[in-house]
Amino acid sequence: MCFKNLPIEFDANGKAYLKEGVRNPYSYETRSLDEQADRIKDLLERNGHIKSVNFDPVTRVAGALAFHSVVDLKERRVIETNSMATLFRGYEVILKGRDPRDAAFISSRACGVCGGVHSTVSALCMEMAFPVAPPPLGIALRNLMMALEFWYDNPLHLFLLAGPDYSQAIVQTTNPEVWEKARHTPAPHAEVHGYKTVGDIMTDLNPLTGALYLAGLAMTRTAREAYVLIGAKYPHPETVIPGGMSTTISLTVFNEVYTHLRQLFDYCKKTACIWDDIVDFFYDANPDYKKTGVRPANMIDTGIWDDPFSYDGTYANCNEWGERRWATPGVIVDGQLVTTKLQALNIGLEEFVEHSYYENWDTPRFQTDPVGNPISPYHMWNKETKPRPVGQNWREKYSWSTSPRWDRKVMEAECSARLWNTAAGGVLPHTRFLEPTGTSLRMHVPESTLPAMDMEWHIPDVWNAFERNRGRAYHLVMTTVVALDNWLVCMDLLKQGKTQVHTPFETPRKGSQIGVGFWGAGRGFLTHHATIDHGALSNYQILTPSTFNASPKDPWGQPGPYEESVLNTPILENFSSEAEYKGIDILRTIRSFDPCMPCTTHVHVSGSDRVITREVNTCACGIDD
Amino acid sequence: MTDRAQEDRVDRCDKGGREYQGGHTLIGGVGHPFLRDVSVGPTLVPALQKLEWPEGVEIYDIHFGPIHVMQWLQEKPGYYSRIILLSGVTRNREPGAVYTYRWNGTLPAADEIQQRVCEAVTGIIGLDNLLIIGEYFGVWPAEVAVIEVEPCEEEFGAELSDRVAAAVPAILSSVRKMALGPLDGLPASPFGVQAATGVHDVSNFTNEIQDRASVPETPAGSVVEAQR
Repeated sequence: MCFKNLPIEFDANGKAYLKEGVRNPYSYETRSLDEQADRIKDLLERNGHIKSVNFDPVTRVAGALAFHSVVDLKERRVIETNSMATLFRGYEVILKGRDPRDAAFISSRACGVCGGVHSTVSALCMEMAFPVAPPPLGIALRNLMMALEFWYDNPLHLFLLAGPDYSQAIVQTTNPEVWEKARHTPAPHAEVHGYKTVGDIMTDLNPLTGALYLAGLAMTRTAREAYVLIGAKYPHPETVIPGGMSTTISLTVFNEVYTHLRQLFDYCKKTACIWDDIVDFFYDANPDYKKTGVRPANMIDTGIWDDPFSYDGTYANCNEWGERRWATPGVIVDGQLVTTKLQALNIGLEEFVEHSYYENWDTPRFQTDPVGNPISPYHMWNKETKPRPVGQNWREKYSWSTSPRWDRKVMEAECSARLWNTAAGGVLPHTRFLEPTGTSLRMHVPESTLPAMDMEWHIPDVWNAFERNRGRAYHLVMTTVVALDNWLVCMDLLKQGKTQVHTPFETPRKGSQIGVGFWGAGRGFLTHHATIDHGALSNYQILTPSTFNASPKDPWGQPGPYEESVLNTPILENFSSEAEYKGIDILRTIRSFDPCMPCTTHVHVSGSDRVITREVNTCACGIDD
Repeated sequence: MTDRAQEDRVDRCDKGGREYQGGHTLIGGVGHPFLRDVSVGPTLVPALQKLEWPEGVEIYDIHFGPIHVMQWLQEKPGYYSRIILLSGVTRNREPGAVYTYRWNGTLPAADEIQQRVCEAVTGIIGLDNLLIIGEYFGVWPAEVAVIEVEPCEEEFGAELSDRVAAAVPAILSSVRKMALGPLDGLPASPFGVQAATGVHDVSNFTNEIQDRASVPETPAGSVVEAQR
């Protein structure tokens, strides 16, 4: 039984139903934040060593994020946190009333770094609604492109955004004793990545000048080049459409893609070994680093990379085709995988706005999903986006992010969840390069300049900032072998003459349709939920990984993942005065999530075609305590 | 040929093995597309491409991001001797005003450069980021000049505001003169310094273009050639 808080049970056939006798199954009481806010205010007034520490904006993240914290500099602990998404992303409003065929092109613009994922998830959503299923080559191509896109995204995080937090330039300043130790500590994987000491790795992690920083930047080019060979354009490809792809494919294209793919074989081996050495070194230097960014391993992921021969786009069959993905869908609660079924994942989702700059919506449209499973009034299919940035203070509302929850638990969206679900799920059908063991995921990476290697990611015994980074490095390994596996599938299809990449479809012009796209971004979970009425989008809801991770407190006062993990972070930085304090432990924690905030401000003006792109910036500077 | 010399030669060659020749001029439209006046650079690229240009002048929509542009220019070192960038940039100046200056190569502090790289790789397209990143990674030729337009309208849409639309002939003329004539008369400036050229009211700007009509109407190639 995967639900503990929602009154949902399953019958012998796996169909969900609401427990009998529960009068208002989805009702809840909101817990006031006044008491906590008063306590913090009192502490700040009475203690000179307790300080408000604001990061506005948090740098080296994608988009607009501010973070407010209250830190006890004497006790070296964080006592209050607030995560603020400071810009409004109004794509839900912009898409309302549009032609469903435009959804992929418009929603793609929701993010400039996740340049193709929104196109793809939108196409999946429309495929369910229309309905239409792509041919195998169309599906395999999308898988390949998805993997290549992560080759843009993950190296950015590991070496340009989060990587500098572990560089000589930062560590020597904030923790000179750690830097001294690193200089004399041999790197265990020197034979793979070529760095003799951990200090050598840290030096090459230096921003702007370090070789790893510059190589990460160069890798974005390799990834883009390979992507556009298939998709023609990145970001925002116009070739990813409902029913498959609108691109022309030939053997020449696949050969060129392979020359790019081969460059990734060694890079992913080195990347995983570099992060193994960094993470294990910090644990050894000070075991308290295991507490940096720690929180319960509660994660959610829809899985990605569809089986070309199973995916049919239907909701009725999504449990089956979901489990045949290269990355298994799943929900992890306290480190235990509780479901791999996409329907269970979907019906447990709710989105709350008590501490967000929105107002609640009225009567829910749906009580069940398309196959009769119960859904909440707060589910995306029932949600309306109603911006209302009033009551700006820590007690009331302080973020443009909502608070998505699953089974009313605080969930983290992580690409590592793909490794975890696949390792623990035991349902993976694609074992040419991947081998789940129950507690780890073995990945067989072919030779290039380096020999072939078996890389193994282990489910960690603690879930913290360091493991998020290590997981992302191993996610690159998984991505590489999935890309290769799909490249081989494409070549087989080509040999068989099965070159069709698209299935024609009729756009519905009458009646009502419903769909959901289950997919993922570089940092994890991504869904688009939509309804269509009389040929136009009547509702469109985007749920991104950073909406989960950056979420403010929920109705019960539970902090979001950024907030919770920073609260648990010990202050290990060396400083002798408040002026010297840099907050590196907090920043390492936040950046470990690879934050990708909705980066543009778009407000649709009712009754017109106007979209305003300014004046909706809600910075932390004016907020009341 | 030594290995090093061979490597250097490879760096200077296109994929067909032809050695890049300098002396070309790039006119680039910079900025996010479909944001009305903010997008004046990419928007005017087709109009610029329709004009008669001497051989060696290339006009591209380079709204594809500062890192991408930098990597693209890294592919062809020495190919461009002059780059003219056209962009709508909001700096809270007189809406519709047009500014011209020559990029003087001043870089901000390392932290700021790093932040610009982070913005660029995560999807922010903008003139300042492009100038800084291009300078830091050493892809700019000796001559880089900028035409900035202060937007009147920034909403989503393909059309320019009336005021900026009225300035289009002057903007095109200015681009042409900067691409073909000497840049000596332009003030050198780091990005975004309002005082560099002062505010140019659109009506006055047309006059200014006329005032600078002393720029010889010589084909670009020969002007650039003379400067080399």
